[in-house]
Amino acid sequence: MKKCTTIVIVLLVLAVLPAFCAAGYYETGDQVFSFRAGVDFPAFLSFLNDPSRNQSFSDIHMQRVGGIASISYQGYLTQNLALGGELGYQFINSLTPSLYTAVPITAKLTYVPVQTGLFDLALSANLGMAFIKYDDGKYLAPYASITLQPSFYITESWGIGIESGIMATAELYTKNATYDKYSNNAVLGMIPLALVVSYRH
Amino acid sequence: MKRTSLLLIPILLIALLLCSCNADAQDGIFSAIADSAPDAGIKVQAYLGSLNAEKSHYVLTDSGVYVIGNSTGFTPILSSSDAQIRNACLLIDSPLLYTLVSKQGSENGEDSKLLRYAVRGTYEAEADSNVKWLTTNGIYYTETESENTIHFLHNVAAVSLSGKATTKVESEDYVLVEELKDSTKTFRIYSSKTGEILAVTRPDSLSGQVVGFQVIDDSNFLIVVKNSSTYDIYSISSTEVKDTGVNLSSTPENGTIHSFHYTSEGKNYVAFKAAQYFDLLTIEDSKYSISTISTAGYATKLRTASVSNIVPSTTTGKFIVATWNNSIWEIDPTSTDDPVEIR
Repeated sequence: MKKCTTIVIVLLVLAVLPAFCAAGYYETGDQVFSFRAGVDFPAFLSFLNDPSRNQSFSDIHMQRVGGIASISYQGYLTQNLALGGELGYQFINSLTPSLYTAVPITAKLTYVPVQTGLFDLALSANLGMAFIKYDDGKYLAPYASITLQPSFYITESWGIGIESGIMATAELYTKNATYDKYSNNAVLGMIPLALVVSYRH
Repeated sequence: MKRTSLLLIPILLIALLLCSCNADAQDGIFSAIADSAPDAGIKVQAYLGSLNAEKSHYVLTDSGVYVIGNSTGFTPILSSSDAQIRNACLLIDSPLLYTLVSKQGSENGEDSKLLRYAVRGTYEAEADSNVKWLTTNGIYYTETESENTIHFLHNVAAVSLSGKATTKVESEDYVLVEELKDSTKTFRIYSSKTGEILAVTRPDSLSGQVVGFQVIDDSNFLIVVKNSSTYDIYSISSTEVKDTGVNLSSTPENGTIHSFHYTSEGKNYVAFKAAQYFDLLTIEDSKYSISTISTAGYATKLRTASVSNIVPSTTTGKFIVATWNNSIWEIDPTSTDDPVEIR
């Protein structure tokens, strides 16, 4: 309940922020290229059909920190809304030396309620799929993320910002006669903290 | 706007459709991560046995012989610092500890010696030299220019071979040796406590390498032969080597097949560790069938484990499974409960 209230408040604040800001900076057709690199922290691992196996930040069987990088391209559909795509790479070690990697390919929708020309505040939602790999296992997984990104534009075209939020990767199986995969349905949540360099045109 | 949307919507729909299907993962990736255990920095190569009412479990690792079982982690007994310990045997009745050592970098038997120790690691004597291999159940093989011999650490007379032993695979108290003389290959099976059990000529039609061996009883055995990309199961008796007509689904990464045999409700079962889960061979009235077990307690718990060796537990009907990532489990193949980890 508390979480919902917080989310609603944040969305309301973001919605009314434009009213207190200068006139919008972007126009339909403007484009933004972004390069992102940083770290990610494992937040939770939830088993949808076996909650007794759930692991949270404190006991998840992964190293405390991994890495992320991505490139994205977006075009403004309206003054506040930009749509495009993002190609990323994530990695983190489990407790064994084995590396977990994910290559998300997503559609990216960004809402920019604050845009002064020097400062942008952007809320992005990504939806797509991620090719994930760990040991011998490979899987094409549904992937979604919501991130918040404040950015400062040093020049007319180049900006630098910080991005964080939540990234979720799901592993979903149908009931299978050979292996009991259904009990392995799970969602991995990661928190990114990344530096973003943007070029707008 | 319209064109972009028209392009993106089908891409998203295709992506979601792909994601709704089971993809290439053999097992749950997140499940494997959740089950991953910390790397202790050493690799367990073999479980050797236990002493002192289950409190001292001896294991051979890549850095020497250790004891576990008192919840205090790995206590070193013998180190591999100067000479590499290639294999070891805990002779419980004596009790004595034997190791097969060779100088670092000498993997193929040059200067390989069999050394005898007290069970607390005190060196006693060099037991033999020119030793090509030693099994954890107490059989070893020496090879010189004049004589090739199978020896037994238990009180059994040594057996001379007229040819050379080219392959050896152990199972419980037994070892299968493939002897090559001229161009004739012979399967010889030895019990560590009674000596040679049987010898049968390998048929010319049987090609491939023997990678697995399992005892069913004193006169019936199984072997797994790797032939190209398949792992075919053959039965061996004193009179013949016979194709069972069944093969394994896959093999673990380290290439050796690990298995154990048990009986339940009048049927014989052999569980083989596969890359994922276990393959279960059912033997009923000389008929063989194989399936994958994915629901039993041990099969689920150890589904992605890389097994070092499997030996019978001192508790009847149970088995000890040692894995490369240092976890050692006592399993009950007829129970769906989780196996018990030995620490």
